[in-house]
Amino acid sequence: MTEDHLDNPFNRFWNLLLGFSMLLGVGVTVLIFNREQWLGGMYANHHKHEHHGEAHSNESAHEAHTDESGHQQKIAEAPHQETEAEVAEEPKDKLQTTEETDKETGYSGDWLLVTGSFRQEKNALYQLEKLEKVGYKPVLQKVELTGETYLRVIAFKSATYKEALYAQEKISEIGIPDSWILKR
Amino acid sequence: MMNQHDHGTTHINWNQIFALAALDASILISWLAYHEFQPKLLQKFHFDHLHGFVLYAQSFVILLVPLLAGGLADYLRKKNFNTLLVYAVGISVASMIFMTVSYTISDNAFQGLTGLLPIMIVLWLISMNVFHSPANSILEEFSQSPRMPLVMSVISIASVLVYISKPLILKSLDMLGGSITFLIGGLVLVITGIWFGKATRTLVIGNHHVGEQEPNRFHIVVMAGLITGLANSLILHFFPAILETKFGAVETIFDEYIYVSAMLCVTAIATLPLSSWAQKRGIYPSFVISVFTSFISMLIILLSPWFWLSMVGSLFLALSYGVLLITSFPHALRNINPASATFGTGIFFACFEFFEVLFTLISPHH
Repeated sequence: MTEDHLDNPFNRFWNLLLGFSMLLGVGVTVLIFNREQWLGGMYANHHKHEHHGEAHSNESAHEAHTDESGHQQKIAEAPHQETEAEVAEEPKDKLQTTEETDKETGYSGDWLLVTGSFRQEKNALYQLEKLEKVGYKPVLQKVELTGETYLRVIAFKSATYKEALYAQEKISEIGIPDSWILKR
Repeated sequence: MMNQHDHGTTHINWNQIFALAALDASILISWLAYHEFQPKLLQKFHFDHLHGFVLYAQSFVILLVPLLAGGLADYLRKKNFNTLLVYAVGISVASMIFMTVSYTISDNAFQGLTGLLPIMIVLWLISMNVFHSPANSILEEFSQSPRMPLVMSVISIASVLVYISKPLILKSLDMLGGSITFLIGGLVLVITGIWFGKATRTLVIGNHHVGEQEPNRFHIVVMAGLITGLANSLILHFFPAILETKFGAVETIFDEYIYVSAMLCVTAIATLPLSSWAQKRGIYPSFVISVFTSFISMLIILLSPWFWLSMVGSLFLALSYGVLLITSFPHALRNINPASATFGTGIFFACFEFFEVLFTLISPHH
């Protein structure tokens, strides 16, 4: 016999401990999946004390952030089990209707230049800021894909494909190589 | 070059081990690139409606292909074919598809080529899963060696280093863009594949076991794969957010991965010393202790209201994760008949991925 566990006099002990550990693993998994409900208070307190006004990484963080900005309704809209920095809450002042964005940005048309699509709000906001710094007026668009929410960054809108193509070339020069053009 | 067979199980050919560690690391980086760009590419090329199909195909391939590839490699070996042919074909096809995707998503591609993107994604998934098990089955050759934990620690450190650098890798890939990323991915796979191929040219798996007829205990292999996969998925999938919640968000280049990356740094540093501990203690007892300590540490981190206790829990989780990585696969290998080494390795990896697949399917938001 070569198996050390079969030679081991405590073989039964190790087997029992492994069995117990497996049950423990299942318990930990269930706890992790339900941590917002079962441990919500503990998690929310941490955030209320430690973070302010940032793009946070779980639902509790969204609550803390939302409290400060006064958008009470958005707490209810956020999926209760959201745990990562997913987009549970619309970034204020950035996610607008087509008419609003056209009016504000001065861009209009059916051709959209999309510079990125992000699961995490802070990544979308990072690109948004990057574009704003070089003079663009980008907006965000929420997209649902089989249960996951993505935030598209739309850098430019135009009436013709040619204009969008030209803008795409310009945007690749500022270090955003993966933009694409969509028709609304 | 010395022949592996002359040295039985005690001689370790470190060139083979380093080549395998590099290959495993390049596979992990390729998966990072895939997960980062796959949804974006589907959106960009108007295949949004195929997102569900790709997700299910991905799950199916991850769970089934390692078994089929392993079974095929064992069959070829019985027929006196070169087993490493399976991994060579897998690496070649995966690299080729990487480069084709790179061209397809570039601005220079033919108009009709983008229509093949979903098919290419599925083919890439299959080829990536074809060679993983056959490549790792070379460790069977060292499974009876007392230095097996040391061998595993080298391979584990390479993987852990990739996990530590995940945020940096993702940021770099984003800066490079999809096209260049896939081109580099293909090149890295080719380079590590050639290195691995050269290093293992003289290796014949199972040669030193002639005359031994150990029974297959696949239920132990399944259990080892499932438990290790569960702990691995929980740590890498959920603990970045849990630790950030516990210790507070800080703005760094590592984003929410900062605490998990720090924890994994401890794992990487401690893995070598822990391998000698595991060697003295025995593979199976060390494996059980690491599983128990991992889950207890997770429980402590989740439930503890005190900062210091969560820190202690994280430290123990880091150490036990290191031991888990270096003992689980050897424990599985010791319960596989050498004649079924690659199939058994396939079972282990399929089970290892089971919970990751399950978590992705049932809860995309987690």
